[in-house]
Amino acid sequence: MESPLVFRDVSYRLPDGRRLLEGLDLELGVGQTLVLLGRSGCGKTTTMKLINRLLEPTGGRIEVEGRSTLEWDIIALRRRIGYVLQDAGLFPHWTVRENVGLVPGLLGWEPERIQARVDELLEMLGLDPVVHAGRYPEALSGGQRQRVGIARALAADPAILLLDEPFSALDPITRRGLQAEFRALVHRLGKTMVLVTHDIREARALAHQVVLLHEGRAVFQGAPGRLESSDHPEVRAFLACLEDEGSVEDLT
Amino acid sequence: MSLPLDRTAELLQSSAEHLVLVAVTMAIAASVGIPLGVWLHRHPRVGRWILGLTGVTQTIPSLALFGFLIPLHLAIGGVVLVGGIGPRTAIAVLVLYALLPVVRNTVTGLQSVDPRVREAGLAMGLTPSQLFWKVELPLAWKIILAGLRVATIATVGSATVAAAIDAGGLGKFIFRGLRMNDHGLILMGALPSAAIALLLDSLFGGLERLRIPTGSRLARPVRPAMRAAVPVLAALACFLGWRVGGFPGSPRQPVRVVVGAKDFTEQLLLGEWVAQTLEREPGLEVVRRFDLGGNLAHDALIAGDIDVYVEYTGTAWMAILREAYRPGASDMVARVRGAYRERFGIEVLEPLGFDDSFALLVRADTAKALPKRTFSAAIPQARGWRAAFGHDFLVRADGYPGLARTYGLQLAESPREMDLALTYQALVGGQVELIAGNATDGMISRFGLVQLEDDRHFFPPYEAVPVVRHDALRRVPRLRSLLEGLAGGLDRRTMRLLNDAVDHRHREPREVIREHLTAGRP
Repeated sequence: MESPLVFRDVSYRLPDGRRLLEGLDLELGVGQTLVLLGRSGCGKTTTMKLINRLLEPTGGRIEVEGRSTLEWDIIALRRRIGYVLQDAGLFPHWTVRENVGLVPGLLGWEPERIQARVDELLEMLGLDPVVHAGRYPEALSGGQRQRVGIARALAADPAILLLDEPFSALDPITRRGLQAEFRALVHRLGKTMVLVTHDIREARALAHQVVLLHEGRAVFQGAPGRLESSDHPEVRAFLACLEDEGSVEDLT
Repeated sequence: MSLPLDRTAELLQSSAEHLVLVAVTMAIAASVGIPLGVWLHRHPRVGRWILGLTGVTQTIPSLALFGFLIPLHLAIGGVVLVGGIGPRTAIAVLVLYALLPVVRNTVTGLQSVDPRVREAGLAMGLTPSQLFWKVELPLAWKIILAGLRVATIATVGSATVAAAIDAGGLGKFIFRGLRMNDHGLILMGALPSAAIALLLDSLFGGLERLRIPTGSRLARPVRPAMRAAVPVLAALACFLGWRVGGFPGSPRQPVRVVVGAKDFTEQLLLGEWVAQTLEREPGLEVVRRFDLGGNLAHDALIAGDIDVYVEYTGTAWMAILREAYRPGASDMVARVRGAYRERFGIEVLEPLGFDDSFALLVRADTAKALPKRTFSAAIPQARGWRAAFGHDFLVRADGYPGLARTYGLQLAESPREMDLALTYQALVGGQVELIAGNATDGMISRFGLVQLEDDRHFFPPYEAVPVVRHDALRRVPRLRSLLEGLAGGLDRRTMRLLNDAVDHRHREPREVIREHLTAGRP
């Protein structure tokens, strides 16, 4: 079966010449999860935006379902890819139902089918459609907004799901609960996913493949279990954080 | 305040005119300003520039803008868009003022849209136009609406200025009231204007509370209809503006004569005198375009919006031709006539019979003690006089300083400075012996004051002369003889009485002239 996502020697530079990504190669299998790990400003979000062509690579080639992103019709490509933003990025002037039904609507689904799909997704993400579907985002909690954001990204059954630090804006208790639920959901759906995070615990729990970026370069690439065996200082620094964070969370 | 029936009708008519001015202005300002704001938001560099420019237009006084626009006949395909007097130019000026808040709020509104929301929209696969119509515009709409609201309320106020160029509206009452010092009239214009402002403000308040339901029918093509509506609305607004702009009638028809007048009592009387004289002639239709502020009457004459009005030689020579006056210069009428023919192709007719220059005024008892009623003869006695002058007269070289030099005038004490109207009170009350007013002030006859003749011709003469377009004289062959029949028909004393009837007894200029024409002269 064709790989849903391939990077071949992909680079991205700003017009002023600064390198945000340099020579990245990777290949993701169907249903696999790729975790992009790294500090703020290391190129994680840039890599993500290259996939749905919010940015275009200045070098190399990205293939989605066997076709270069530059050969795709840009609108069709984006509708084929689900996207979850850090703070959900919900449209504040639309109800939950309108937000979740956006892409199916754009794809011209029948209203009844959209209705059923929205209900199904809300239930899947632990929201009661009767209670929540008619609400506006301002009337939701942070955790609920993130659930709606994930439902919206899944609505049209995309080939790839992109998640940009989906839980980082939540308080730690909500985050842990939602992470656990999300893990269960991922296993059930078997979606091909790219997840951006700086949380190594999350990375290890979800990833089939981890790419750790440092100043635009992949300093580690492989299965999460092999992270400990790397002696790159950036990887060590991340592992050290894990120990610190563990001890802090034990205290709380 | 209870009004006579005809006043109520006039008030309703003016309120309607006012509303139409505001509505047309805002329709144009919105259909130009919102797209302009959208464009500027996408081109921020040009944006800063243009916003600065629209800010600058707001600081130009509206009368100055009128002055620029009236001589500027901007026409497309024979249809005059801007220029001349009347609602069209007024609307052009009002639109310029209304643009800034509309454009600025559109830009601010679009800037206020969270970039993450915009990015989410793009990432979901919205096309740029879907993103604009479904996300950006609805989210910016509240701020855009607030801009429209501010601009509308401000336009209700500034539309009163439109009356200065014969564009109608409630400003008519305010200008008339200011001129006649009639507070009732001022309120008659100001109160309905405030009421309209409040009404429109609450209307916008209601609109702002509505949530725009753009999201629910995403898949269905409702938006393209809305998109098509914008140019249609814009075209409608322009058409309406043009139609409305046309209501006072064009001066080009063969038997129609347009009579103009400036915006003070004497001018309204003179305008009526000319208009009613012409109206007596069968087959001649007269259109009045009065209340033209500043030198707009001259601009309107040059632009062909009016055919004739009464000018003063002093104003024509100094303010319009910008020539210097040398005291003692003789035959100013001939000089002005020559210059007008050469420069403007405008005919200056024979004087009406009075000179509205500065007048040196004393009480009757003071005059009795003088050998002659000339200023030269008064100089020896003036050593014991006190004087009061308005600010202008006191500081202008062609006022008190030059006067004192020309005649060798010496007073008992240096002249006091006070409001022109108050100098009359001071003279009548015996606090001063000498003031300077206008030769045709109604108060001169009311208080039985005496004007001392300026026998050295220090003051420029302000002879009242009809000025008329050559094409009007050609078009209406009887016009020249009718206007020439006015020559010498109004002396200074009569003019004072007519002015007094309006200023002091609050009578309508039209009535006063009608009475004068039927009772006074054949």
